[in-house]
Amino acid sequence: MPRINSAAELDALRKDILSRKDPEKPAIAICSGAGCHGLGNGGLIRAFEEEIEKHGLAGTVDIRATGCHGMCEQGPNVVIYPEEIYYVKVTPEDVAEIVKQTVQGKKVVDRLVYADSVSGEKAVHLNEIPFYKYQSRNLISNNTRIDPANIDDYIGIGGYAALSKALFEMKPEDVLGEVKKANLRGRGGGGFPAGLKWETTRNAQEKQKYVIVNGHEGEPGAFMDRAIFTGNPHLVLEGLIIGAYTIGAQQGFIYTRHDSKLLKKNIDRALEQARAYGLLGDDILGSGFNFDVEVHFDVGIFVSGESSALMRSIEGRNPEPRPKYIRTSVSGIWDKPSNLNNVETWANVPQIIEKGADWYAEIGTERSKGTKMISLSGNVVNSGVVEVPFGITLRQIVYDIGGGVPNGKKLKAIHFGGAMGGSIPESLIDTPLDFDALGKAGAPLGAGALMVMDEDTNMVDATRFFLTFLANESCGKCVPCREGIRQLLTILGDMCEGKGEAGDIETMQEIAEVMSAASLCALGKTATDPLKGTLRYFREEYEAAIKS
Amino acid sequence: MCTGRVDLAFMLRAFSNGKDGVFIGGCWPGECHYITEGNYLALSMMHLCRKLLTLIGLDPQRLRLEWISASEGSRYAEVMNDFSQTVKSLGPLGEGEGIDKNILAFRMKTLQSMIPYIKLVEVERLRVRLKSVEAVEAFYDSDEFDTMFRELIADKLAICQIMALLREKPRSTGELSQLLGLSSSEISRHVNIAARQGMCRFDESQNLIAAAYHHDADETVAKAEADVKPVALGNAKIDQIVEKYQGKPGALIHVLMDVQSENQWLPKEILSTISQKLEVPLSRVIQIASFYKTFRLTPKGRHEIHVCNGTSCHLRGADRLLDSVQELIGIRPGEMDADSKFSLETGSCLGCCTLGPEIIIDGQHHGRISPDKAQDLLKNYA
Repeated sequence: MPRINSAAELDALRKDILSRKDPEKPAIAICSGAGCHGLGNGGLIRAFEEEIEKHGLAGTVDIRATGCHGMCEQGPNVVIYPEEIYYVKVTPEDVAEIVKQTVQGKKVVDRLVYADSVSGEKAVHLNEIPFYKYQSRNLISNNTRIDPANIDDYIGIGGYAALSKALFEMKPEDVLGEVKKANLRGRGGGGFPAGLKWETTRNAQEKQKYVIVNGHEGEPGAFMDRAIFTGNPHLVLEGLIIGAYTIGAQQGFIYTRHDSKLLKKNIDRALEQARAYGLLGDDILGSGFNFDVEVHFDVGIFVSGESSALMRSIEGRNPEPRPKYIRTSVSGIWDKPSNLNNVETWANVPQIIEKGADWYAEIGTERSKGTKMISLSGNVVNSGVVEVPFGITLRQIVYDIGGGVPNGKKLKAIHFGGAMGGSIPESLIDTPLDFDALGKAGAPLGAGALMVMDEDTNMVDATRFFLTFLANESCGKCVPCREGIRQLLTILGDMCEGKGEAGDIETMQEIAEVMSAASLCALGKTATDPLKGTLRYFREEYEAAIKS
Repeated sequence: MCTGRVDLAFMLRAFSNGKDGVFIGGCWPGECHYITEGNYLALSMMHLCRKLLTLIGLDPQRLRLEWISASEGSRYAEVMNDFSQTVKSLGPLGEGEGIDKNILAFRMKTLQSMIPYIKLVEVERLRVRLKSVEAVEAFYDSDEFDTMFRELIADKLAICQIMALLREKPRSTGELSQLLGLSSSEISRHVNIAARQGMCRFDESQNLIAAAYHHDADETVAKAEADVKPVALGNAKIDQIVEKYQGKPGALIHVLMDVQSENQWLPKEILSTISQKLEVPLSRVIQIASFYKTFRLTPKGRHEIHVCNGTSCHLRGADRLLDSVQELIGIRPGEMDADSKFSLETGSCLGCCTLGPEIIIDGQHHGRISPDKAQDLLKNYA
């Protein structure tokens, strides 16, 4: 791989890649996301390779194991290009027929196309399937079009153009201005404006600064970050390099999950390829800007996703959060200013630079801009990774995209934000997807894990479930969190067995207040949010659990 | 000398030197000149020692404590004659009970090695604060004592004996059962506990139970690192891993991850090797290794079962799946079964929420598993 030394050389490379690509060349995109992988897509990829070999089609048909397509419920998914025919629940036995009928014969295999579970209506192409039709897939749609193992695929679809633009046509303060103007808000949970955070680190006194990708995604039910990070690692990397240029950091860290081999492999390979092309390392694209990235792994504990804990973990210590009188953007890793954003936030940066803040700010609501990736799961017909513009209602997400609640059950509640989130009842389903509106309703968006709960769900039990999770994940450093959760669990345990006593609800409320006020980090402060939320909307279930 | 000074170690030393009987004589209870009332302690120790003798198969009557004051010359003669009669009728130590000489010596040696521990248990849990002979005797006759003795001492002794035998060479359950005179189900129970504490493991290739560490044959080698050798992972391999990260701040977690991926778990000896090589205090290494859930300080079965209990799987019935898996393999989360076949973990979300309820065996995901499907699935793993 030759090093790219200027913006012109990058453009030339892109032209060269595109000239070698025939848009009419058939390609088979097999989903390799976490869901489809769990359903055994390994056998499927092998079967396609063998079948193509058998027909002597190697070289005339591309096979790519891609990142998550989104509709995990129907996996393993396969897309046949150039027609973009979408097949669901594909097994190795179907492979011969697909190759013969669709790839060679250009015909559709009817039994493998998506059919609505209720109406039976079929949809042949990706964009006709209701699950995809109602989304705005700005970030994730490229997952089916590129091979995450090949940087040329990413450059071919316009990758690293935003970086080139930032480095050669914009000053760091211009980039910062764009990001602030676009009002990009952190997708990790807090919704804090990324531009302001960047500015703090940029303006901090220390010379050595760090940028960090938080790909920990430890929240149960959240799986969209790994979908984008595994499927399109360069997108995140490009955003990170632009951020580093803006902030003035020369060292970056990726903190990500250790338990997905594919994710690890794709990130490592992406870094290697980017280094070979001179997109990382010294004198990036000949601009004189130096930046490189180191990968660290979470080692299986939820609290290490918290920013100050994460930084302790990168230092090789216990991930214990510290009080944030001084923010990590001023004093983070080894007490140097460290700007941390989550995977999805970084992934949003290239499009803002490329298409401009004005374009970006048109998407979404007044205070929440752009699109949001949602992990849709729980009691819903079509679970999977969804990307929608802010402002869409929850009803559209659950019914139009998700296909509603399975088995004819009624919807009871929608839960956002994982174990530290909140549940809102079915009556609030027309709430728009918006950081502030959802926060006000009592289901803060969090990282974007939307859990659909049907009528069989016992809310007291669900609260106990979340708190059990947090009891295991609490680092134990501060007392209100460690002991508070324990006491709440004792009471909830009794309640679940029907042994609740008068006054229990009030005691729990008091403990919750103390925990919110006195805990060190967000884990303790918000651990009682599910409790408070369910007490707000489902108090009668708690009252029923108290013996009269 | 006060009878209170007659230590458990003295009594057992006499027996291990081949004495057929041990007699302790001292002042009457309540007549202590020095308010120390050591004779009550002697009484407790005597009872405890008798239980220990029974445990290793010796007749408890070989040990006797009598109250004889300085003025009771005739009583002394009477008691001594009676005791020598008793011992004579019991026959020589071991032979009278029908225990092989070598086996007795082995049991005695293990028991003696446990004396500091037993004394600790005595102080912490078994000491009778009441100053009356009746109270002491009632206590040593009680079920309460029996339970504590069984749990705190008898089981421990069995494990000590098993481990001593395993350190000589790997052995089968049957062999252990024969050597120790315990039923094979008892042996399995003890081995299971020992395995969970990381002391031994099931060696697949030989179908035998092996100690996690063997003392180096050449004990003259004084170096700590040569003294105990990890079975699975040599120091050279650890060197290689440490080498890869040398000098990098924060390398500890990376090194631990790499070592674990080679060795499946992190034995204490490996941790101390890592501590030396990385020049990180052992306390820090252990702090990190015990804090992060990914690091395992106990060995795992040949097949690792992970039942996801993330929110989505929970909503879709992960509890029922876990119940059925527990029933099928007979262990709870965090445990390993006796023949090291399965170990069971639960864990939060692995991001396959769309497949819930989900079970992961040896890294292979299996989605939408109903409790009855779990049985078919587990059959595939031998």
